[in-house]
Amino acid sequence: MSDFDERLRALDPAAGQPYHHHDLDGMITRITRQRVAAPSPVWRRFQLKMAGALAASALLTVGAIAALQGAGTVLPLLALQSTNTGGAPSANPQTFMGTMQVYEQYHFSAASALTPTTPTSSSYELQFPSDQSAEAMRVAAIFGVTKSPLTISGDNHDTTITDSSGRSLDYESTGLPQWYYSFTSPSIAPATATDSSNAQMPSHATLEGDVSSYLTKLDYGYTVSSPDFTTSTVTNTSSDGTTEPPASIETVTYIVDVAGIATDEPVVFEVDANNDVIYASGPAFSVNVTSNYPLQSPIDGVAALNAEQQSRFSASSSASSSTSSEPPANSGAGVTGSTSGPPIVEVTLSSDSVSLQTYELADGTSWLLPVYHYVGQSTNADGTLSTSSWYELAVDPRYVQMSSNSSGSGSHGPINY
Amino acid sequence: MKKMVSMDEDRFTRLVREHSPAVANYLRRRLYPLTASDLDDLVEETLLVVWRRLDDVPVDAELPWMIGVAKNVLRNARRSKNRRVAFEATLVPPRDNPSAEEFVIADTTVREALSSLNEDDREFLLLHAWDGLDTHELGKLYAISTNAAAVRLSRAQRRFRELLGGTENG
Repeated sequence: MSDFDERLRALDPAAGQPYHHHDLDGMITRITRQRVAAPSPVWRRFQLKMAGALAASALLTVGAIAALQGAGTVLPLLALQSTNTGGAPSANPQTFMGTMQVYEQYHFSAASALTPTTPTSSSYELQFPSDQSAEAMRVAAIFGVTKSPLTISGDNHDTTITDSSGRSLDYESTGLPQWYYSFTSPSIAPATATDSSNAQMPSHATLEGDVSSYLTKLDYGYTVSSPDFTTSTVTNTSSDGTTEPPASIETVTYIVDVAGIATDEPVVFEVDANNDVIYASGPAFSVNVTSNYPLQSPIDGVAALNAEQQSRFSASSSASSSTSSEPPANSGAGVTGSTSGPPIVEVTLSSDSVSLQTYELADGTSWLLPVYHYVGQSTNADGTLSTSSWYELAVDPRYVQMSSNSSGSGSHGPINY
Repeated sequence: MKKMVSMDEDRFTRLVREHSPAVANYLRRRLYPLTASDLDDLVEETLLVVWRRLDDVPVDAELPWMIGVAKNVLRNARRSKNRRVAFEATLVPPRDNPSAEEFVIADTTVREALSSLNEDDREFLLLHAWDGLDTHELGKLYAISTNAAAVRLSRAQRRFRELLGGTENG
């Protein structure tokens, strides 16, 4: 083994840290109990989730549903592939969407300021480019990744095109497809430091014009809004080890909108002082079908958040009562201790708005579904207050069927397998 | 049918016991910070896919196949994290997202050399050096021949050594 290999191996972050799953046998049992059955056309169109309260209701009949919707079209059940409702508390916003650290149990209550009426918002079945390689080539051409010779690599989920000038386009088709353009090596990270240089950067209007031009050429059909601009500095290291002069870059991050409603997808563009695009990324989708699934009220959404909390903790407490290493709760205002469970944090949700988040259904289709974005204040164990966000699926639960993911592991976004 | 299910469960159980540590290490080398429970979640997400596609797992390349699944799980996890950070930018100031290398590699020379490699070369190098995949397994993971994998690995190693500024020993 060479010295360099030894030096690299010595820096393995996982060295000396053997992995032990906290309940390997339990996990194996949970997984092997799951049987994924192919949905039949009849099941997909007509099966309804029969909540006990609706058992005697006229809404059970297909004709009644059609009358309720008024359009004469029966809406099929939304069978979500995973419990990616985003209902996990985001007291630490940097946690993954849906990933929940089982440390505190949250009790949500609705402030009087929550919208008492139910808004209307459509649900959107998405359509993706059918040919990954062709789409990668098309987007690459738009960004000028064309100088011969081209290097094309990838697999069934990823295509990377690099030209001789150093421009690169990476197209990933797993889940909701994404495109990534860069003019430098992808290993050079976007800027991470706040800049105080005096470089004359392109104006916001110029940058917005650039973005508009590219999005028109990409022609996916979505719009963007809420631009967030930052100026920063990046320092690159040349292949000979020398450090190049710091370069200023201007970054704009947009939220992708569909029908004027914000989604959970961003579009990012970065330009240098010469207004050359050095990085850009965004989703590759268009809307295939628009459906008007009824929504539950924001108040009912709060009740659903609480129900999910109870189901997670009642499942995890039985599975992990012998392995929990969480310390006893520190009591404080708004935080109550429990001798047998995690500390309980009271949260008052004071505002709500509707946005769209990506979900994958059991039949493999991907949708943008309306979710409530709640903002609320919680009292921490030390008595300090925190303002955080929570998300709950807004579609009426009678039209939604969750997959049997009883692991309580939450969601990590759609996985297209 | 019952016997087939039992055989599937036996094979899956063996795969989990033999390879879940390697899968977990692959994930935590590339996504920081990661709590123990988050890592368990990602491992379970990966193994769930392995169970669903058990018939597709090649007998002669089980670990690289599972790492291929973990690679996609990781991609989605990163994407979800980035989407959430971008989406909540108006509520919480965005913060740096250090890579695993920046987070844990104290040897700044090696860190800079690794960051100067292109993504493909870096991944090839680390799959071999940290995750222990040989050229046959690398070929299976990337759906290329063993020879092609050996060439790519050699190229990545050469570029890494050049960036470190030395010559190969041994």
